[in-house]
Amino acid sequence: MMLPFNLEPLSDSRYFISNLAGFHRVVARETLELLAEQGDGVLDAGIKQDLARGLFLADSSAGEEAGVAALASGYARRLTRDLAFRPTFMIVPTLRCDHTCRYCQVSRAALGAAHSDYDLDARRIPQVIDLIARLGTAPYKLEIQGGEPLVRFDLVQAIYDEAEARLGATDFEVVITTSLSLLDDTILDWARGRRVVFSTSVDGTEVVHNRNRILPGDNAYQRVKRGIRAIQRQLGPDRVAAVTTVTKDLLAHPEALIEASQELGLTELFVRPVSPYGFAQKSGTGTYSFDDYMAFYDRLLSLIIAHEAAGGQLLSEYSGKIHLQRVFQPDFNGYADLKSPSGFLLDCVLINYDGKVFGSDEARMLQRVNPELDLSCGTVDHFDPAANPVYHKILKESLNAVHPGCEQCAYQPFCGTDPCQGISEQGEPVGDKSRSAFCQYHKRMFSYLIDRYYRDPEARSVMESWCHA
Amino acid sequence: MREAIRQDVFAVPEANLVPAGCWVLRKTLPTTPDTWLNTLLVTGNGTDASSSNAGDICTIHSPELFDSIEDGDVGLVNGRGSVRVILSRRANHNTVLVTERCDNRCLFCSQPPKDRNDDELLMQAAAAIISFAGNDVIGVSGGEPLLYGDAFLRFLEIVQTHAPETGLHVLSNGRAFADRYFARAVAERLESPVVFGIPLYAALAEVHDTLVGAAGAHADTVRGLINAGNAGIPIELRIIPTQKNLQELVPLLELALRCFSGLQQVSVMNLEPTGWARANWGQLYCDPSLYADQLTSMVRQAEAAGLPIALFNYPLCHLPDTLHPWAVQSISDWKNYYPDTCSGCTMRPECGGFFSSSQGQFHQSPRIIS
Ligand code: SF4
Ligand code: SF4
Ligand code: SF4
Ligand code: SF4
Repeated sequence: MMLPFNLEPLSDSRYFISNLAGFHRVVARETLELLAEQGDGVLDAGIKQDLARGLFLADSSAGEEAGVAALASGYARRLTRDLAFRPTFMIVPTLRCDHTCRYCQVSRAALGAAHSDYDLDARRIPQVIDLIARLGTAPYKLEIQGGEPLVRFDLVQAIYDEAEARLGATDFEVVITTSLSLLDDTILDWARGRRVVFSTSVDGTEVVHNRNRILPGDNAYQRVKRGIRAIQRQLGPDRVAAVTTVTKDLLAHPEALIEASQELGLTELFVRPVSPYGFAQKSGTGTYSFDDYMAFYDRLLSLIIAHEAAGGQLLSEYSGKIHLQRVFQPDFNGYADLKSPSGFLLDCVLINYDGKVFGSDEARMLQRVNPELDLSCGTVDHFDPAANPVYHKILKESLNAVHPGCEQCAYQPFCGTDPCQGISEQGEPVGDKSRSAFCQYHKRMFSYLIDRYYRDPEARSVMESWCHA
Repeated sequence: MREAIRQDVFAVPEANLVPAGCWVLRKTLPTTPDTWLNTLLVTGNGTDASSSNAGDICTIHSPELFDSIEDGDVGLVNGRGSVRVILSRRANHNTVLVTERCDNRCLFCSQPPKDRNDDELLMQAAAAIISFAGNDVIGVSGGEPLLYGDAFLRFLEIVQTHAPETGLHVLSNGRAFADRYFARAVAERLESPVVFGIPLYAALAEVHDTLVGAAGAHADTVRGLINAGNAGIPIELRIIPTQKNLQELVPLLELALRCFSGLQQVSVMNLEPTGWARANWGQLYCDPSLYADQLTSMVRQAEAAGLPIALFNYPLCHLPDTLHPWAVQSISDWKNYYPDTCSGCTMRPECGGFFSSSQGQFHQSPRIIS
């Protein structure tokens, strides 16, 4: 007897099938055809057993009843887990920035703009930490964003001190998202004994990086290189991580990324396509198709494999890793984008420089480009998501199992939703998946990774080491 | 049987004068009598050697027994001249047997089921647990304890009311929890820490049903595990690798991680050569080296999901080094021993050793670790 499942084609007429509990198999097209036309009785015994172990088939009516109960229970487990409120608290001390990146994702303000317009009022910091203490539980995760937060290092310090006093000295961790251009010995000394890690951007080798990440009057790449090196040397290699926004300039040169990571001593890559938020689209730079992006990703993975085979250190790629973990690791939901319900508000509470609070980083970007909407969930002294009908709508509609398109997609148990991207692209959170950048990107990533995992043993062992590191 | 570390059965010839049943064992006469069990005063060397049999309090003389018990331990007198210490303050683990009946017929059952009515055992066990009044966990085993249905609910109520400090670990095949209402009724009665140890041997129904000798058992136990977990009953999932379910180990763990709630721990247990396992040893026992990869993968998966996993009853030299951190020294002290060849082994303090029942064809020798 067949139990319900979804299917998506891979290459070579194989199919990826999955069910509500999150089991998956890769099967030949003829197996599915036999199953559909003649039932499971005609299947090879080994295939039949393999499918039964994953709750795709049941051998009796009692087995069917138990199988359905197990599918329902597995789905309930996923839902309950993804519903948990465990936010990262993002704080934006300033929107001002010394860079003028071409694809700026967050929207920025000029360095010389008025502090009163774009900086957090220091007197608000106790309220900020108070909100965090009320909403969160230890260990608290704080992420300081910008603009360029180190423009107001004084605020970063004040936030840390307040957190230390209110949240408990060892009960929180701070990630500072920064271009590192302003990193100096004072900041390094300060960070040394504190629970601080730096997250920065590296978009390729010097030429590629500097073409997009522009530091007027200076060399952005040399700055970030010096910063990364200094942190690695003085604080340790695990205190800095880098993300890469794949621009059109990098697209044809994945090897530039391997080169840059070698030069910078980084072993974990985190590559992402240019985000559709902020001013990236409006400025008209870096537009390319997802097919181009996947061709880039394919070459990058092959380079990683070759690099390791040639005796180099294993490089991991975080985007690939989280897609794989969603598929292979029951209970993994550590990434706000790949969750259903989405990570909106459940995984993120963002406190903006002006005291407004948002349910995600994307929501504040969306707010910047749509000033006529209210996408906030209150202010730091009056947090109230229930008061904004937009929040109600977003949360209610962020379950992919009932989204048209996702409903029948085999990646649904592992995928997620991004309601803000839906609003940004299509004016509402659900949207038409065939036109959704979120869907195009994630569907390609899932099918690419799974296809390669099951087809290419070398790639598989590299992917396994990503997941088990 | 080989000599185990702690002996639990004592031949006391005059005990045949003592009525069979559970007795609280005293070394001195208590001022207030026990309300749950009759008192058996045990005398040792240097004390009055006379035995007596007077109503609620009997006396027997046995220096050997006297030296092996603590005041207030519970003994089972068989009426044929022996006393078995069933609840001992010196033991690392105590278990009471509440029935020998079972709706499974596992090929490796250590307590092969009997169909006779033994209802009296349940309340006797309750009395023993309450009289013992320990604050450790006591194992409740069978047979299948949940066959008692509503009587088991009363057992839980009584034990938890009168021995609130005592935790229980109930070994059950979980089939009774296929009835969601029963699972809820049990969950509602859990006050002190109670964990249910429930075995599932395969993701595939046919493999589990073969191992437990009962058609339909897999469907019941799977639904039982789901219902119990969803009702909030804490569960220890028990897996015994055999030749028949090696292919099942990894998929079974995936099933557990994806579909079951309420799991406190996964316990993988090396086959124990007792009961029917001795008769079926040749077709069941599997050398751990043949499934070390599966164990490694299970440990990895469980750890990634944050579910504790432990490997029980494995001599350390039968496992690859990488799995040693998950092996626990677990064999109850009354059935554990170390052969002579272990004497020079540096891992002995951490090693569980062997079952004292393993000998001859059942014994797997210690291995030299290079
Ligand atoms: S992307 Fe970051 S570093 Fe670049 S301009 Fe925007 S805020 Fe500044
Ligand atoms: S967004 Fe696309 S890939 Fe993700 S579940 Fe929906 S249809 Fe599938
Ligand atoms: S379920 Fe337990 S008591 Fe019943 S046959 Fe199996 S091992 Fe024996
Ligand atoms: S030699 Fe004996 S003590 Fe040492 S690991 Fe083996 S079984 Fe354990």
